[in-house]
Amino acid sequence: MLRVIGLKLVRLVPVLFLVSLATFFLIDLIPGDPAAVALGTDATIEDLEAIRKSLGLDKPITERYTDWLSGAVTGDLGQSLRPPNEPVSDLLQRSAGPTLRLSAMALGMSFLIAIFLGVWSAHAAGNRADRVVSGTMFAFISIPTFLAGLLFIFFFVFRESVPRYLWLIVVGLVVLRLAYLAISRLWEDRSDVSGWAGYAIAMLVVAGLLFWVFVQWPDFPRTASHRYDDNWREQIRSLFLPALALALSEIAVFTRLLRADMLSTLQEQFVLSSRAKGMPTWRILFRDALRPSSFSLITVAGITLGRLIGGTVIIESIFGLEGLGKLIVGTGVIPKNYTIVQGGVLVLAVGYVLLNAIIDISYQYLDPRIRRGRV
Amino acid sequence: MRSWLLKLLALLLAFGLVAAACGNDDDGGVTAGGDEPAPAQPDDDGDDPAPAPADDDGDDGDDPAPAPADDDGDDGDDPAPAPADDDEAPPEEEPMMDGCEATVPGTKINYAVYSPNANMDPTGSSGALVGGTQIVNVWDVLMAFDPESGVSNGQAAESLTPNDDFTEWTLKIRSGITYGNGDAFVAQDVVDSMLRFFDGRGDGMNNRAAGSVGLIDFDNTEVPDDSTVIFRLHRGWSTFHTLLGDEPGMIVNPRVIAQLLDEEAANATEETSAARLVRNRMAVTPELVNAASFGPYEVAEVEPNVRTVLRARDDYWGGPVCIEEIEFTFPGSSVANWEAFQAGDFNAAFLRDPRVFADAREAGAVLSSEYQNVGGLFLFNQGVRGADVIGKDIRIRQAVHHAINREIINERAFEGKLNTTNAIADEGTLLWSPELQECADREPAFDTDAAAALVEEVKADTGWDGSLFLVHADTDPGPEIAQAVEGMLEAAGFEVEVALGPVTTVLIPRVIVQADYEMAGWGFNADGATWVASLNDNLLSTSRSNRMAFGHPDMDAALGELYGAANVDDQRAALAAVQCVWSEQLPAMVYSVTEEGLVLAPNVKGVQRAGATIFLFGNAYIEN
Repeated sequence: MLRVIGLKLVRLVPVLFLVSLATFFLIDLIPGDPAAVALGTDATIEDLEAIRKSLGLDKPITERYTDWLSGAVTGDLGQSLRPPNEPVSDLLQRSAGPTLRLSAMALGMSFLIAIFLGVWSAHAAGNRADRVVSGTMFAFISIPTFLAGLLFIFFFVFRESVPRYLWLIVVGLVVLRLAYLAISRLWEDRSDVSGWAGYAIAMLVVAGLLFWVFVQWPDFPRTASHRYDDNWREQIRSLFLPALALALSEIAVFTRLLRADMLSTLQEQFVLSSRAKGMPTWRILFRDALRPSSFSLITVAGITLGRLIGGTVIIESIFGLEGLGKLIVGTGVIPKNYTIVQGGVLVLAVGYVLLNAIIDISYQYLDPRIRRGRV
Repeated sequence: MRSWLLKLLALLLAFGLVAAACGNDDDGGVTAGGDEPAPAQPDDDGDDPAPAPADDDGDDGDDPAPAPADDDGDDGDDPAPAPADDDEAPPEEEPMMDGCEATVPGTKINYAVYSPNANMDPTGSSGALVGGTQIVNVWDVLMAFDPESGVSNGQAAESLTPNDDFTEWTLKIRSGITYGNGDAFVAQDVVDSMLRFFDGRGDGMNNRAAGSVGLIDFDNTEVPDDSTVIFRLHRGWSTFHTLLGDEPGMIVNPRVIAQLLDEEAANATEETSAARLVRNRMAVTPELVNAASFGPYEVAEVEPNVRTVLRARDDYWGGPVCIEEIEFTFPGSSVANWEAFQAGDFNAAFLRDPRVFADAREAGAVLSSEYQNVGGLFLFNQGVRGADVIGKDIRIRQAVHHAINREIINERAFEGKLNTTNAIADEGTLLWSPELQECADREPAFDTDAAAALVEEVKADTGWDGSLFLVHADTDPGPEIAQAVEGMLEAAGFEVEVALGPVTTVLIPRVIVQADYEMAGWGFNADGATWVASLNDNLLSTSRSNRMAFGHPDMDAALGELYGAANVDDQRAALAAVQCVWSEQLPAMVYSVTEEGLVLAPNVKGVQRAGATIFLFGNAYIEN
């Protein structure tokens, strides 16, 4: 395992060098002046010249790059060009928290929903439920993230009764369906108590839970700009809508991916063998078939997490969340605050490679053939 | 069947967990005001200002400026909230009608800012839009300006008295005020604190305030005793009191600064002064700010350019501070501020968009706002740094005035909700007068044919090809403004090239750094507290902040009169004279005033203004 991580890290060096080089010179092509950001509209030309000198912006671009690089290799990512010139590492550390929480929540929601829908869809391949799920996933994947964010703000914040009463309708439909199934079982065979009573109990539990959610419907905030570092429930409440907006397209991708892999796995001999042994369906689906079907899902999830960490700028802007994306793009790229961009890209690249190393390692856990192949 | 059931239960469990996490948190230290669905109560006129310090005479603002504060300090002008009748603090569930006797635990102002601030140091902040309210609640001010009357009232100062020609001002400070580190506040601190505006010029420096402090003749300013400063000015300045309600009136303990300067001396370089290092250090170290300040709040947490959390100071000189905490965060824009305020995320939000103000008024929100005169205008480059530009020719400036219809800008970019004007003081503001409007109306009126004729005339005379380079910010609705103007100018025969982009990367570099523009969207933002300095900075021929290279002896003379105008009537007359020169010389084209200010939840009371749109929460309380 250490060897894998070590190799990944060694490969990281040329990647990071090229990425930092390309980023630095590309940023220099953007019009604008970081000194103007530092001074604002009260600036005078004399102040601008002074600050440019102070920030080292009067030096040639190659010299600025080598200055930055020599600091970076010793762990010093430099200082922001924007007052109060904080260390870039501090800014990255501060912004990483909200973004990591948001990304993790989005990924968690995507997993939770996609695994259920993907497995169900594969199990019921070709029938009406599968077609409904597939259609819904195509709809999800077609909605741009920013639009999802705006729609969620509109409906969950300013028209909260719409999703809330939609939920109530869903509750009603589920309860009616369960009631129908219980009565059907009872009608078919009164002696099959476990059959009809199971549906009846499920109906009551489901009705209770879903109705409780309806009653406890939270007031979602319009922005996620507040910090709730010591209150996890408030954190979840404030991040729920941005996370859901980010998760929407990921749910669709994960569901489609898992469905396809599950369909293939369900044709395997060991699944047939499990069925022949009389194993319950849930066990076959979730214990036997899900694990070997999850390789693509995990690979894509790793890539998605990396993408989410560095690419949530739009959703962060819509919800006023001060995360990494907003820092790198809003505070870094747009005003040409190159030290932030360089530091941010470096940290993201390292994180991305490490994440993929972890995914590689997880394959060994998931598939004994890989594990044993190495022994 | 069982597998189906299990799947369903698993899903429900997941939803149940999320719902449980998202349920109402009644014990989470939530604010008294933040949970209120705001705004709920319609206001009679929708734009009443928040309670300002009493101007007991209730006159129309004709007082010689400024009104000296009372000496006894007990007639109601005191910033301390009125004490309740009972000895014990009222129970939390009881309505709190007028102030408090002690800080009320759990009360909080969630304040949506227009723009986050980088620095808590007054020398590094820049006005109401960027950190004004955050810092004033930490440092306090010597005088608090009341934009309704144009008069300043004593805050940390007891009185401020001018001589006859406003060249000498005697300041008496209150006794018994101590800084957070226990040092006593003495008169010499006022001078030392103001002198800091000249130290460490560079990034984050407050140039606007520094320019105004430069009018003080420090060589001849005296400190006869620990409670008195006699300011002597380089010129008569009748509204000098407004400066003491702005950043220069926020006193930073000079002994703390001296110690920090000593510590940073070793780290200073030729390019980075110790003063700048101190400012940067204070930006990220709440303890330093708290030790050096005596305002109603202390800094509890700070993340420069992101958020600031203030907590009530338990030994505030003005009495108990009712609201325990203020958190300043940045949702992203005026629109986001208003939406988040409506959603109940905030109980105070700064707005600066005419469309949002119109919505807020329609919703019956409680507003405390002020018009920024000369808020929307187009600069003309008239030869900055010797550039040979077409804007030097007054016929071009006249042609642009003829070509542009302000109402078209309003309709296309602001949904008809902009307060358009051709005057440098809008009719709704204190210094407007019929005489001023008469002068404003002398400017070239909208007439496309007249514009086209002038364009042709200049082309024929000079060989100019009709091109005009317009630079404009892309901040909403910048592109629509630029597009509307481009269309109107091209209809008059101009060939317009437009450069749109962010303020910091396009507008400032083009206008200030390179002077690479012929016409630019800009704003002077002259409110009741800053109009003299603002017009002077932008129009005086010798000003370093004159972005247009405009200069005219009549304008310089009119601005001189403005500085010395003794009372509101004189100020109105002086401003009318400035308008007359403006309409004749056309240094720039005004098209609107900009409204800015605070929307407050109806249960937030007692918010006081320190400047036109800078708000003090020392006396504020949340009514249950």
